[in-house]
Amino acid sequence: MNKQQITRLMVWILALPILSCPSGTAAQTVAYTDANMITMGKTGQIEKGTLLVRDGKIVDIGSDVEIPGDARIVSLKGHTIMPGIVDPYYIYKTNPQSSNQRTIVFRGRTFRVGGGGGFTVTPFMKVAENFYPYDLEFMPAIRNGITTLHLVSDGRGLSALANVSVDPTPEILLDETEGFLFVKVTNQTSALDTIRKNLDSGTTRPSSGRSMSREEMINRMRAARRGGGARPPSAERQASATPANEKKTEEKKPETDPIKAMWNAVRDGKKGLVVNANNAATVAYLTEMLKKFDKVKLYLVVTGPNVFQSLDEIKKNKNVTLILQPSIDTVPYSSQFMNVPKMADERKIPFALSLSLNKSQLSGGQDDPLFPITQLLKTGLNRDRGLEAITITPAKMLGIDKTHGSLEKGKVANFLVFDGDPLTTGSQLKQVFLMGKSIHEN
Amino acid sequence: MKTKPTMISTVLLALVFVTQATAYQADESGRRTRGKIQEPSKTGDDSKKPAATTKKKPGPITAIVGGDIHTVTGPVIRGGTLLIQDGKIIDLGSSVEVPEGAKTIDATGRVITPGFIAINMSGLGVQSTPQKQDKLADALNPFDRNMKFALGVGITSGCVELTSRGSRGRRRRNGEPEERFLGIDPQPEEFVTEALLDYGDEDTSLCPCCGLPVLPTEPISSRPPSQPQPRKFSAIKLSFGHLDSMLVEENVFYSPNPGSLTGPLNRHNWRRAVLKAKKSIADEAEKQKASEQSSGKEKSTADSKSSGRSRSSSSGSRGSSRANPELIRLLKREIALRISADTVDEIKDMTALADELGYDLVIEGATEGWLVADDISKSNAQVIYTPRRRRNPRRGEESTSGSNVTSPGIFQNVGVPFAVSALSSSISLGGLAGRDLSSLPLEAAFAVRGGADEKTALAAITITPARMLGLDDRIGSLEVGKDADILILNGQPLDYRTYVEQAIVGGNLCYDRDEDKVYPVYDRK
Repeated sequence: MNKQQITRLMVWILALPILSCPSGTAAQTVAYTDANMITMGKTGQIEKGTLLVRDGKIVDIGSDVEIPGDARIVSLKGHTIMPGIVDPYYIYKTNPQSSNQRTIVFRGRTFRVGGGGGFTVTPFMKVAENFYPYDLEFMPAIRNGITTLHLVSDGRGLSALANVSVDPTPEILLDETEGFLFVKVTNQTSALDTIRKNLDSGTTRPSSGRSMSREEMINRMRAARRGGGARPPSAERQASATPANEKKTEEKKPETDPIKAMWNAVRDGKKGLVVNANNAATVAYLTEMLKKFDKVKLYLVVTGPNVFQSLDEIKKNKNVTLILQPSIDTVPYSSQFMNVPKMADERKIPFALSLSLNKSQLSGGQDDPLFPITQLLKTGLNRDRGLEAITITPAKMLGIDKTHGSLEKGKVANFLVFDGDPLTTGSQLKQVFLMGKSIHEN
Repeated sequence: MKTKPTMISTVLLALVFVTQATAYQADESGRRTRGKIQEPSKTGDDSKKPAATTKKKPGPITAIVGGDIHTVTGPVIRGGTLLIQDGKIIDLGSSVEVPEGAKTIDATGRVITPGFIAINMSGLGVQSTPQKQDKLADALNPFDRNMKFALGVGITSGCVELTSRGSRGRRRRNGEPEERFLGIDPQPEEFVTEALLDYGDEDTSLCPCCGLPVLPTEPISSRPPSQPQPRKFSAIKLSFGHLDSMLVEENVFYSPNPGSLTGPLNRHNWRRAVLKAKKSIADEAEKQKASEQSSGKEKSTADSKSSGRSRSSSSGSRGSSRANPELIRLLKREIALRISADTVDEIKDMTALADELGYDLVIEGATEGWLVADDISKSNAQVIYTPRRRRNPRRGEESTSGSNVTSPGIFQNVGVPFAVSALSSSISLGGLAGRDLSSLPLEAAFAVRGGADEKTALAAITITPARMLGLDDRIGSLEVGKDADILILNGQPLDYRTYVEQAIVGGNLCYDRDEDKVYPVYDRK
């Protein structure tokens, strides 16, 4: 049982009393009435609708919802409700080893060694294991109406999904999904190999086994027995399989190493891969790579100037979703502006927007957090696409669209209250609700 | 069915052109062994891929019509038509029909030439110099802005040098452990106080008063100096935005340090290395023969060749005694030895060595080459020359030393093929002064000023460097079957007033003067 599983078990143990005895605010049905609702679901926009919340879930939503007798009624006249923002790429903990600067403690003295040079392969980091729920870092996200975070770190590792909350509830780490593999790359062999080798390992397995002679095989088996299972699982499996039936056993045996199993799932397109591309050339290398591994679903985190020249190439591959920063970019070496999300939309490339990619914007803007999106709409981006890109699209990408990303019956009651249309400059974010509870008021 | 007669005529025309081109090439380069004329269809591994795809589904055809086509290896075709498909030239001539549905580029009044080749290029298309195990194939940047500047003067491919910067200023052998500064470099966990005490017996000692390690001033452990590695050159195309066609070939030259072939000891070592490599080639040939006899000559020659090569490298005893694979390629005349030599003595030394040991020679610099042009010609060497480079003569020997403005003319008369290289290999903002890579066509024009024909000068930035690189089957001229690296110019290629209107690399439009605005455009329409 690994750490993550333990935390998940604890989450359930802690969650049990809350779920079993309906007491306090959780059991109270609250009806939010007379609000304009941007549901992002099938119903679309509702004028003067009612939202019924109970136990942190949406009981009902619509314009003619029957309000139960015991419900507390909150009138939100003149306000607009929209789903909580799902951030598809929140850089949570920077890996100290991924930066080139190193601090060395030496007999009580510290030395900072500045490092030049390029990419370094960092250790694999599981974000869930380094998650600290009391982290003040999340405060700006709350003020900006972000209710669900996809937590990643610098370098490479396994991501985690979390609710944003002021007081850490047991539900803060979502356990609907196991997280995604993420990796930050540049166009260097060592960097690209962090993806290629992992994707390749499954396809080139048998060749090394077949060339082994029988004697060698027996020797290796003996050595493995003597070693008492100290070998890595893959080597042991190779050693125990004979050349004749190796291929069969390879296929039948489920992958024992969870990370390897995840890479296999990525290769087969069952799970997405989150890749942060460092420069324009890397985007070209990744699109080339996808020609070989055509099933891989790629979530490409990239800046506008790095991707705008590759959009036509990306368009050809249906498995790429872009994760962009909501901002107007300048065309490199010119004074021209461009709206990359709009350009992506014109080519029908799915994209999600991450408000947290610009951390200074995140800590600065809190009254109207959607100002960057508004800018994109003013310069031609379709309104629905802009809204989808911060709610339902990232939820779909993260596999939580059954519970998050829109305001629909049965979904988690994560929603934002604005005093006007959220995508009009000047309207303020008034309240943020997470699982039916108000976590921020402005 | 309607297209059938045109197809037949296309094939016929293609045949005519192939034979024409072959005949032309033969008299110009017959004396060179490496720049051999090859059937255009029989190209390298890279070109096999598009051939395979054409079988599946031939791509759209682009036709460039109405321009004066400078084929370089053949005659100038006035008002000719050139057809491109799948990145290759499929047909050209004055009476070529444009197939139905082909995209047409009108080049009436324009001049069409093959893309120029910069034999010296740096800081272009490569993100950062690959280090250690990193490969060039993973370090390319198809969106490098400098490529547009180069394309703007017509450079579509070039030869980049990969310098080994070496992270700490010292050259390291492959696999050699990284030099470490104790106390600074390794992981911090290793530096617990107790463990430190043990470091005394390694190469460092601790200061008795402060406890910090006293770093030795000399290298921590003395290692024998590693042999200077030959410089690495690779050919890339400036196919802006198209990563897949960028890398043409790696290791296109064997280029040792100039100092490593001078002096009796160095020359002895060089001869020994060459002899060893020759022996391994002979061994390999013998083995190949034996295997061919045993297998009953089933394998095709190409297969056995490649397998033979891999065997030769693996069968040789490990370590330093193994012959350098690049050296073997040099002696098989697959690549040339590129070395810089400027003075008469240096050039004579190099040509003599090349004649003695038997390899192709490319002399870089050759400022005093005009004095020994006959020697260079006799040993079939080629020259990389910069017409505007000056070298002062020795006092009192004005007629037998130093540079000469008329060198290009002398080279041409004697029959020394020369490629023109710009004064600087990179694109710099100083390009306005006309001394960087963007002055390449201008530099070729200076060769004309030095007495060479315009045809030779144009060849000096197209087919001649292509032959030096061993890539004359793909680039350097406009022939059927070659890569579609084509320039559309608004004037004569070497005129300083000429602009590149469009540059096509590998069949893709990679530069358009009106759109890219590399060179200012003021409402030309």
